[in-house]
Order: sequence, then structure tokens, then C-alpha cells
Amino acid sequence: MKVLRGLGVSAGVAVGPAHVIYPGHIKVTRTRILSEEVPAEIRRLEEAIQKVSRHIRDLEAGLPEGLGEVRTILEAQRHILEDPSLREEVISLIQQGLNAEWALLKVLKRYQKIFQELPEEYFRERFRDLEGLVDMVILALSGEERTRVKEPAIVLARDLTPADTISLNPANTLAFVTERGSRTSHSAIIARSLGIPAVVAVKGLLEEVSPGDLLAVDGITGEIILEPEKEIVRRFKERARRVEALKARLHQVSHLPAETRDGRRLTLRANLDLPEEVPFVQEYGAEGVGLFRTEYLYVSRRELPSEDLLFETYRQVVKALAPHPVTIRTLDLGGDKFTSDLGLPEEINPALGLRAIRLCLKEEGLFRTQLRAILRASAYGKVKIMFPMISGVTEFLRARHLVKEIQQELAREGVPFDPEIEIGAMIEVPSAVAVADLLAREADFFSIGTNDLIQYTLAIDRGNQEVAELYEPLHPAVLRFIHQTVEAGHRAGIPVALCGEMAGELLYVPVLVGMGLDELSMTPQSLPEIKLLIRELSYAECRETVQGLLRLSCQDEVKETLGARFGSLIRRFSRSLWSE
Amino acid sequence: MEKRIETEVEIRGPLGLHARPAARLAQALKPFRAQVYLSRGQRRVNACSILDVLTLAAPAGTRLTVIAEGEEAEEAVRRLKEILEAGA
Repeated sequence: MKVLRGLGVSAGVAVGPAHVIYPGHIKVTRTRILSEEVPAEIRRLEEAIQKVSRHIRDLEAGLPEGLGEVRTILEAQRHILEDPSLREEVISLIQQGLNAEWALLKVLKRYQKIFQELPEEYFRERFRDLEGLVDMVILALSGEERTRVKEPAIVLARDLTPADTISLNPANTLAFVTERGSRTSHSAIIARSLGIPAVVAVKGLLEEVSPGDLLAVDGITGEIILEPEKEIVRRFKERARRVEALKARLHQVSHLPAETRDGRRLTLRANLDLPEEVPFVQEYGAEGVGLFRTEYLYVSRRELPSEDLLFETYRQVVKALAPHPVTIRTLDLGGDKFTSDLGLPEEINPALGLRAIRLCLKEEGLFRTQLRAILRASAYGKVKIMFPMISGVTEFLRARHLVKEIQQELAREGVPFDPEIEIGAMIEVPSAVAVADLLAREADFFSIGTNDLIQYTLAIDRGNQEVAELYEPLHPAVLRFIHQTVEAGHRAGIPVALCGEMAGELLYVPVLVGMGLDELSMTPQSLPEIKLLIRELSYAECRETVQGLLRLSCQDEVKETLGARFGSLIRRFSRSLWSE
Repeated sequence: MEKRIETEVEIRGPLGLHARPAARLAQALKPFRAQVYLSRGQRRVNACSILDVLTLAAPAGTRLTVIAEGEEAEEAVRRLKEILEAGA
């Protein structure tokens, strides 16, 4: 059994055999087409294009209602495929005696040159769509079928183009796992929309896994377990059934409050990447957004996004979810993510380098643009701002001061904004925990980002396989830090939220409730089951358990005690979800 | 002499002339008999070709020249403006 880790980008779990899509194309040879063969060759091309186009149409027809973003991606693919200029050019090459495959590649090459030179990442990336589609047409011309996923399987690839993604059969795709990609690659967006679990950015994936290997995949934590033990398979399958069962009775659940048996009410909010995912926030019953990640518009293009583009994007989300709040996290990127525009030097240790709030305070122009957009959007509903990677009071004050300055600027310009906007600090650096009492006097709220807090507290890079197993949310140091943060916040009378994968894990829920957290934010798909579990718990009992856990010295003891106290309740609870 | 219209259009919508409006344009112009071209600087492309339109890489606020030739040129231009000026 071996564990690989990547970035979980689409919630859900799956167990099944690996189906590997290796990069590498059909070998194309150049043959001469005689003039009497030209009409037949053109017909061959047309039929191949039609075959691929039909495939995309079938997929569109099979999409459930309301998946606007995916439908748009598919439609655009189909339009590119049916592009008249493309077709004319290929046909004219066939008329000059080239075979269809060779003509396609030649035209592809010409487009590559043009697209390569375009100034924006978004437009340059569209070449990959064309490339993927031409591959599919060439495959259709060869008369071969891509080794289709015939049995339910977990699909692995170095990277999935939208064309690859759509050429999969969703019914047989238990999950996607790729070596490359990010939270906002097309395949991640499609996976989320189709409700297929997905993990991206898994280093060494194709070296470690062979076709047919049994895998267990967790689309939230990003864990890939190779040849899992029976017990793990059982647990994963149970979770998969739970997720399914909950989906079926979502409408009975989404309006219920997240309130413990003894009346402690928590607020459950959703994590959000793209405006297109707002419908999930509503469908799964979140009370707004606890973490709106704003990096997409910065990494998807070469030029920095304009204030208007940011404003429009934020406004769309804020308006759709009003009166529920949308908590916007300001840019959380390292200098390594930017291309030419900022011209920042490369760093040896980006996790400890110029990133998040540090980068924003250094590149003030960049930060001002985003803050202006956020403040302008605050006039259209309820917005909260939070700063990532705050390490101390000075940093927080500088950032907050900028917000105030921009508020005055907007007031002078007569642009509407919310003057009462709440400004919070993310607690994810150990030094921020150490001064949490001081920060709490300045901030309107705290939001604990557990993924980074655990990484920085334990000094562990989860992407590094040598140490990944030391990553332990139940480490006594992590528990103390969460506890200290909550206490400091509450003493100062401000609410404390937690966003991060920890919020979506059943076993941790009693701990988080017992710690006294006011708000949990997670992938929308995790919300219903977490809420139902909270409704089974007693706050008093959770509190008492946490007091006990905080006295333990080893993480194994913590796990044992927690398991002994809540294990059977959680097992009973999760069985009840799918046996009802 | 064949009918020929030349005019300008401004790209609206925060994302510029991206895949969605380009696709909508291709679809909408299909039924018209006129040949419609868009040009930005030296580049002139067939407005019905989503690929060629994308290679204009036109961000919001860009002004493009529209050229329509042949029958139904006016109708085609009107439809084009509706789509590009609506933003998407």
C-alpha cells in the first residue's frame, strides 16, 4: 500500500482499477492522394468530423440541467470542430494530394504558430482545445477507438484536455486523476459539474501506477491509495454510498440548520473557486461563502486582470448569494505563479517566500486593484474580506489601512461600497496563533486555514512523499493552535471560522464543534453530511471530549480517544445515511 | 456592383471576444448569405470561424472593423453587433 498526494479538486471518493491514458498520438504517415481519390478522401474527413461532433452532441444531451459552464465548454469544442475555415483549409490541402490526416496536422501546425504568439494565456490555451479535437478526428479517421473505458474505472492521465475529458464515458468514469492541472483547469471544472471526484497535480503518478492497479481516490483530501488494504476499500466504498444516498435526499437536508442536539448553532458555508459554481453553493444549502479563492483570474491569463473584470466577477457572486455573505480571500499566490508582468525572481522555497499578503503589500498596485474591485462589489450584497498568511499585527494593520484608504477614495469618487465591511485575518501561520489575542483586537473575524496551518506548524510539505505521512491534523500542536485561536477570538468577541479539508472530515467534526468554532467552510458537496452529523452531536459532550484531548501528549492517543468516544456514533450515523 | 458595408464594433463584456461570443457569432451568421469579416490592425478574419476570431485575441474595449459583402449584408452586421455589443 502506498499513498500519493495531489490536490483534491472535486469532492467524492472512488475505488476501482486504474485506466491509464498515455500521452502519445496515432502515428500519422503521409500518403499521396490521386486526383480521382480526392472526393473519397474528403468524404472520409467529413465522416470523421461528424463522428466526433456526434459524440460531443451526445454528451451535451446527457448533461443534467443547469450545468451552464460545462455546456459552454462543450459547445465551444463543437464549434471549433465544425469551423468553416479549418475545414476549407484541410480540404484544399487534400485537393493538392495530401491525405486527410497529414492535411489536418499541417493546418494544426499553422494555427499553432498563430496561437503561440497571442498575448493572453486564455487565447493561447484555446490551441490546446484544437489540438485535442484534431487528435480525436485523426483517431476517428484511423477507424480505431481509443481504448475506451469499458468497465467502471479511475481514469489517469498526465493531463486531460477538454477534448479528452469529454471523450470519456461519464458513467464509467469513477474518478479522474492527473499529474498536471490545477483547481481551475477545464477538467477540474467539468469533474465538479458532473459530480465526478477528481485529484490533480499528483507528482509521479504515471511512474507509480500501472493500468489495472487497484486505487482508492479521495477527491477532497487529494489522497490516492495504491493497492489499498481491504479495510480501506470498505471505508471508501461506504463513503461513496453515503455521498450517493445524500445526493438523493438533498432537498430534505439543505434547509435544515446546523444545530447540535443541545442547541449550539454553527454556520456552514461553502468554498468557491469560480462564479459558475454558485449554484452548488445554493443547492447544497450553504449559508454563503466562507472562502472565495480569487486566484483563477490571475493565473488564467498573461496580463493582470483589470479592476472591472474583477469587480464584475465578484459582483456576480455577491449578488447571486445575497443576503448571505461572501468571504473574499485576497490574492493567495506566490511570485512563482506570475509570468512576465511582475518580473519577480525565482525562489528556492516558495512556501516561505514572497506570497499571499506579503506579495500584495509589496506589489501595492496589484493589491489596490483587487481591493477596489472587492469594495465596489460590496455594494451589491454582503461581502467580507480576509487576508491570507497574516503573520502578525503590523501586516494586518497595513492591509486594513489600505482598505480604509480605498474606501475614502471611493467615497470621494461617489462610488457605492459597504462602509461597514468586515475585515478578517486568516490564521494559518504559527506566529499569528502566538499573537492571536493581539490580532483579535484589530480583526473583525478569524478564519483558520487548516491546510497551511498544519503544513507550517509541523513543517511538512504534503507534496513531498517522504514526509507526507507525518501530516497529521490531530497532532497535539495543531489542536492547541486551533484551541488558542478560538479562545483568543472569543475573548475579544469576534467569531472564528475554519476553512480547510479538516472541516469536511466526519471524525474531526466533534473536535471542531467542541473547540467552539462558529463557522465551518468546505466544499459544498461535503456540507449535507457534515450538517447532519452536527445535528446528532451534543455540544457539551464535544466540549468535554476536546478538553480531554488537549491534555494528551501523542497524536496516536488523540486518535484512539477520539475513536473510542465518537467512532461508533459516526459509524452508526454514516450507515444510517444510506440504509434509510 | 456588390453590396459592401464597412463599420466598427466595440467589444463589450469583461472577458473580451472569448470562445463563448465567438461561438455564438459563428452560429448566428451561418444563415446569412453575406461574407462577414472582422479585422484588427492588419489581421482580417472570417467572422464565422471561431478559430480565426479567437486569434484576434480581442480584449474588452477593443474596436474592430466589420466588413460585410453580398446579399443580406445589413442584416448580418446588425446581428453581429447585437452579439458583440451585448457582451457575454
